[in-house]
Amino acid sequence: MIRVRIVFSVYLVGVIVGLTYFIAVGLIHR
Amino acid sequence: MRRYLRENSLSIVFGTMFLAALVGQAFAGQAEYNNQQQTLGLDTISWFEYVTSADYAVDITENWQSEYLQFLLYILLTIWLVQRGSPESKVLGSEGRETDEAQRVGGYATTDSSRWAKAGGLVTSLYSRSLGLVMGLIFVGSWLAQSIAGWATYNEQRIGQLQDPLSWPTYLVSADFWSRSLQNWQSEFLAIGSMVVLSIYLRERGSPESKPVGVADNATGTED
Repeated sequence: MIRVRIVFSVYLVGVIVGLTYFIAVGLIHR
Repeated sequence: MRRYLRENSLSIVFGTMFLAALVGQAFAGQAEYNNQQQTLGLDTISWFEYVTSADYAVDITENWQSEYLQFLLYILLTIWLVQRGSPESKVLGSEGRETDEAQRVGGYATTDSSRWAKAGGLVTSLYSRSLGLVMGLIFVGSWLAQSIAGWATYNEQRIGQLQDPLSWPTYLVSADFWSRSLQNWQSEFLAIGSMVVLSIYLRERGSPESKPVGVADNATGTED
C-alpha cells in the first residue's frame, strides 16, 4: 500500500500545485 | 516495476492523458489566441506567455471546477438519492449515512480498517467525510481560481475596449462568470444523469461501472 500512496500523493499534490499556480497567474494579471 | 504499472494502470493512464491534453490545450489555445490577436491587428504571444496568461488559467480552471463539482455532487447525492435499476445507485432502502456496523467504524472496525476508522469521535467523523471534503475544497479552489483568472481576462478585454475595469465582486455577478460556469455545469449534470439512467438497461461487459451483462434490469446497486 506504500506504493499506492505514491499515486494518491501525486494526484493530490499535483492538483494543489496546479490550483495554486492558476490562482497566482490570475492574481498577477488582475 | 511491471507489477507496479499494472496495479496502478488506471491512475497512470488517466494522469498521462490529462498531461497530454493539458499540453495540447496550451498549443491549441495559444494558436487560437494569436488568431484573434492577428484579426484585431494586435501583437501575438509566445507559448510561454500563453501558459502564464489569465486566458489559459481561466480556460483550464473553469473546466476543473465543473468536474470536481460533478463528482462532489455525485458522491454526496448518492448517499440519500437512489435510482431503481441503476448500478450507480445504492440498494433501495439503504439511503442515508448508514449504521456504524454497516460502515465498520468505531467498535465495528475490523483489524485491517484504517486507524482513522477505529479512533471514533471527531477523527472518525472527519475521516468519514474526507472524500467529499477534499473534492469540495478542490471545487471551491478551482472555482475561485476561475473567478480570479476570468476577472483578469475580462478586465484586459474591457481595458482594450477603453472601458473601466470591474471589481472582483462585480465580476462574480457578471454574465461572463456565470456563462463560463453554467456552460460547464450543464454538460456535467447531463453526463452524470445519463450514466445513472442508461446503465439501467445498457451493459458494458467487464466494466465495474456496469451491472454484469446478465443481471436483471430492475436490480439496483450491487444486488443481483
